[in-house]
Amino acid sequence: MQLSIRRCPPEVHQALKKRAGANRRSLNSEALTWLEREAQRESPITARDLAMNLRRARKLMSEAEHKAFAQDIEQGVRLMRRERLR
Amino acid sequence: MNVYVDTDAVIQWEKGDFDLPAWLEQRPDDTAMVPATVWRQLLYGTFAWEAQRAQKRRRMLAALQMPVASFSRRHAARAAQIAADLKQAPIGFADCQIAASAIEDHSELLTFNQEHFARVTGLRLAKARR
Repeated sequence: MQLSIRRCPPEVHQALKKRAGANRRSLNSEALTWLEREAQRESPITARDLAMNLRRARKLMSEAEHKAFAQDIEQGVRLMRRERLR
Repeated sequence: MNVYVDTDAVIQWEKGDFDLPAWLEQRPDDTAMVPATVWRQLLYGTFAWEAQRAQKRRRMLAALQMPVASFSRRHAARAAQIAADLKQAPIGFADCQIAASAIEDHSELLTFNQEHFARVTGLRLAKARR
């Protein structure tokens, strides 16, 4: 599919050119990479939809399994607190 | 208003101590996400255990279809500022990142960890009861 962009601000064009050069890509490939990255970015869902997903997901495990999962998440949080950058 | 859900709100829901869906339904038209740091904490339990248990959990987390907010340069800068502000009584690497995400993305944070997050200047906390 062809796509052309009009009125691209000069600073955006310059930034694109600079990044394309640094990444050894054509201007077109670099622009596509930017667009793909933006298209993949996640956007929020409504609280109503998330509530529905939570109720549905709750049924995938038993209550005992949910409690065990909670404990493992807590363990992950504790481990992360002890992490140090070396 | 956008709400960022903290790990401990999910933990309380997993334990059965907090009705997260009911809380969300009280503000149906708001939007919700989890910060990338929270997602990392939630995923820990899907990697740390044997395959069958891990797979079940991965399936459950996938079913949540919970969008994850990215952590970028400006979030990192804000996290650094929070860490510096609270250096006398640190809240930890992860909580600095979670607070920074919420502030930079103009979101409220749903958390029960008042001890840490109430001390972060500029962070809006969503009201919730267990």
